Amino acid sequence: MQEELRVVGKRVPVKENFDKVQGKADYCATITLPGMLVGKLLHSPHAHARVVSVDTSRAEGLQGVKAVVTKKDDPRKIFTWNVMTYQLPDGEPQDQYIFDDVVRYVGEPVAAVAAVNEEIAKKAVDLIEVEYDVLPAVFSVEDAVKKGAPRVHDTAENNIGAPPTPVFCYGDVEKDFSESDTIVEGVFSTSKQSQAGLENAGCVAEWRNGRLTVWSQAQLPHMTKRMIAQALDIPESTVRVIQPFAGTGFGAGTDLCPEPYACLLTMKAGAPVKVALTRSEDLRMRFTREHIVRVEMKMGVKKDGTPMALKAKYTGDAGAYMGKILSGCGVALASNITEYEFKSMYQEIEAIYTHHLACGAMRGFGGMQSTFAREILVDEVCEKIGMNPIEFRKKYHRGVGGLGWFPDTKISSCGLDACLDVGAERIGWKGKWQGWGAKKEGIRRRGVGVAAMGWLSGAQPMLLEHTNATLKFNSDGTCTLIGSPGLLGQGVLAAHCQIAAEVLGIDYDDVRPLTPQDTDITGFDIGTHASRGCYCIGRAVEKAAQQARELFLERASKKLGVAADALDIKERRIFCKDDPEKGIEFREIAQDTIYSFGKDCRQITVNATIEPTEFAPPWQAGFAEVEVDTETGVVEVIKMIIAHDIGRAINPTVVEGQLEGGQLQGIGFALFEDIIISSENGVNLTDSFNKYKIASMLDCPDHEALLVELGDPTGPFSAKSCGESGIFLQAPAIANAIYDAVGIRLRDVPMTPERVLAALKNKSSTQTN
Amino acid sequence: MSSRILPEFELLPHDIDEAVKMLGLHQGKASIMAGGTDLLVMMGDGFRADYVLSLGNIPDLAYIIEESGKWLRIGAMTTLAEVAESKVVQEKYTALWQSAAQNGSPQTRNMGTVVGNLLRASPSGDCCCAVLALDGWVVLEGPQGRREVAIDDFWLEYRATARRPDEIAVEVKLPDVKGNTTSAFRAMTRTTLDLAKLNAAVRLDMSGKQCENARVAIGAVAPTTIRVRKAEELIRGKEINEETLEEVGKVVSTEVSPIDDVRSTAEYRRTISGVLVKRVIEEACKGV
Repeated sequence: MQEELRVVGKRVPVKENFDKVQGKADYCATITLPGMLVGKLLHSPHAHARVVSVDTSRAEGLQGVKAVVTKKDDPRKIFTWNVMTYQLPDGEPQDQYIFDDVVRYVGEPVAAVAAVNEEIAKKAVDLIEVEYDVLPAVFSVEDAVKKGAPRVHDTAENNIGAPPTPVFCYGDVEKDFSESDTIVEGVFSTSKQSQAGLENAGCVAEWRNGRLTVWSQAQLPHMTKRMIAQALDIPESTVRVIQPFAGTGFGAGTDLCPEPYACLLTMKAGAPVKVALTRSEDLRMRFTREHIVRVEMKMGVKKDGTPMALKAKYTGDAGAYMGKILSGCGVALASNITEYEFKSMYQEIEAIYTHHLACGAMRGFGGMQSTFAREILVDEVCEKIGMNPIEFRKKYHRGVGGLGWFPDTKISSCGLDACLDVGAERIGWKGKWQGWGAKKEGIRRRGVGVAAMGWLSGAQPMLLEHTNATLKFNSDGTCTLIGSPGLLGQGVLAAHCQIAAEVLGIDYDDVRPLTPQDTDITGFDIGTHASRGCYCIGRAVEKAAQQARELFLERASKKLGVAADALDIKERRIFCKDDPEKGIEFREIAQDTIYSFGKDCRQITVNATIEPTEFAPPWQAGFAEVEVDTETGVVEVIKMIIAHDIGRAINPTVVEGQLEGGQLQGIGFALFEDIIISSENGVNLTDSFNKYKIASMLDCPDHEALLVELGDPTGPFSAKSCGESGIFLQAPAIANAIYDAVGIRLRDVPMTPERVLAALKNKSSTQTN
Repeated sequence: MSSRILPEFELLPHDIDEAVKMLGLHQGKASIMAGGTDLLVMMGDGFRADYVLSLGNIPDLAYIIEESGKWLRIGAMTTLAEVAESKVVQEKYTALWQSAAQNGSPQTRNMGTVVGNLLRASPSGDCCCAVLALDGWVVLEGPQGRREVAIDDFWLEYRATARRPDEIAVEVKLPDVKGNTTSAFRAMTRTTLDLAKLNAAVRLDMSGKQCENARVAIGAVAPTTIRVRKAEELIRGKEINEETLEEVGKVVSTEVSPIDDVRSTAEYRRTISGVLVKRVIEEACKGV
């Protein structure tokens, strides 16, 4: 085992939080530039229409209006809001224009205005006259593929964005199903959840002296920069993306949203422009959760539970553009491979265009949907063969060396057994689970359920996950950590500083992360997605710190006249391993690098590049105890436990915070969060927080996030990821607990009282018949 | 930068008479603002009032006065939080107390008012439900002076009340309750902080185990909060036991006409309406 760690593993405070809690942190919402204009968008009221004409003359005539942009101002370069398209060699489909001749969802921008204040900008928007040729629209994947259905894109016959495509299949599922003793299957549906960030989508853009600076909530700043340049048809080096703190995230920043409009406006107006969406606009036009509208899954096992075959199909409601629907379905599929050792698997994905808002990404991308289906079916299989659902999971999950998400990837570590043990203990499984078919009485009935999953720490090697981290040292022995994870409140910068300090033998306070982040300063980084921040960027930080450490030791070796490899650094002091009394302060060496009067100045600035190859899955077990009111269908979560295999928690407080926040979003996904789009006209009926409900602290049940730290050989200080993990297991564990309580199998999230009651009614009528 | 909602306040009367005059001048074009928790949300959703008349400068509109043996009077500017803190309301008018204490969030309770809740005339208003069960009266003041409207006659249809455009609602009065009167309120919501998908309130005048008189109110199942008179008849003069409650549960669902919306479905509301009323009656009975 490693020697004792001094900084890693400690609950040190996240540095940026001091500014945040004092209200001193800058967000896109707070940034004000001299002469800044206010931008407002004109949205289509129609789900599908040809834009015949846009008359902006009255708007332009209004005093205080500085620019109006429409499709005439659009350089008409095809692009996509999905900046992650650059992570694949062939990219994801690109099918958007900033302004198109056709609008394809209610809320799609048709024009934008920049004016000296918000009132004038709003008035000007109202003065724009648009002539629409309203066309028929489709609002479900079922209707979209019908013969004669309205086409969302001329190029997509039958609205098929991607036909059913098998991916990463292995073995012979038909043969293995025929040799299975028990087969279960189901069709599941999941809702489109909103990231529901505290800060609505917003950005500031400034075109000045031939350069375009964009203050953005981007999670992936460097690829955002490239996409903006692509859309505007200007050289990439013209664009600079600055990321202040983002009051949102959860995947929202992996797509553009107001940026293209703000950029067109500032380029026309010649003054900086802020476009800050209202909550209603945010809910209507920001890309949100990948909408895998249907999961069909079937699994076969032997009598003793041996997993034989798994077959699945994931159908994505792409909405108006392809956005991230293909990668969302792809992740549903890939993440489903790793959990259990099935002899064979056949899975396919398909995507269908509709006149809905297109899909982005949200925490738990794709895995939410396949995990929900799989973990319920595993429960059903266990009941049929009479096996304890914890035992099945322990016995048949894949382990170290087993198949990863992507072909040729292997599992580097697995702490799932420990997660299942510690979680079962904490929920009191032994006393509470009374076996299959246990009789429960009364109006209110309690039940317990379990679910499990394995996730990833970055999407390598499938996606490009190139990362750079730079450490620049000051004369006082401190350093600036220059990285670009995107500042979405994930707390990962604390972990990065801890990693650097630990390697360098200096204090946490000595490492200062760069904020705001700026693509003119930071090296290339993919940014934050796929739970990669700590693992991938952390490895780059670790490598940079190691390189800096070598340089410091080299320099100290000259000063002390001792070989570098005989030296060590601890508590800001460089000393001889054999003779700890002999040494020099780290600070003194740092000062000498900058104020050296022996013609030996050389500021230490190191950059490290990482292209990770391992995907280092974190594992998790989730346990729910619920009480179901059989008269009203109301499900109360009594207790929710998640036990998470983190490898090592670089900062346990940050890890717990991530997991606990995930619990609330997971409960929301499981029980009530639901974007409702009118099937008549495509209008989002839940475009405010009094209609679209997210959990508040008052909805938080008794819950715990338990950490299992068994290490991972590939991670920085053995760490794996936790960014997305908190959100997955509430829905399947609650569904399984509901079954334990009242004997109904739910197939759809959210599991509202309305659905629970209908299922209870259905069950009692089936029993009576 | 935030979207500006608040209008310029041109109408800031200093007493009720001035307010009534202002309303008379702007016949129907002025919206009245007390706490603003409904009006500002509507304005955020795009509603534009020609004028907003604020009650904020009129003194002495915030009170809870108990006239023993007669009325409990609650002023137009009395906030939900003040009602929720009142011992008298808690002990004697439990349904109203519950509807105020559970209403919205701490922030909206500090601003919103009971009278405002009644004037909004939303079928899902929590205080509407409680005041209907408690047999309240709305006191209105207009050019012709004061008049009082029974809550049973106050809501005309969805979001429409008997208040004339030149009248101000100055208070709500609840008839005094005796020791044998009990009441309860309950709302069903998707999350803790949500508008009711269904709410119900009852007032029971008990004589031992027997119910002498009952008022049963239910919300979010019709264009306005409604009374379920058939349920009242079922329990009037009877002992409240499992059998009567069972019958009440059945009859309620035949008396409601709910709709589908983002909060729930018509079918669910209809099915559960009886359960909720049954439970509220049970809860009120515990208070005897």
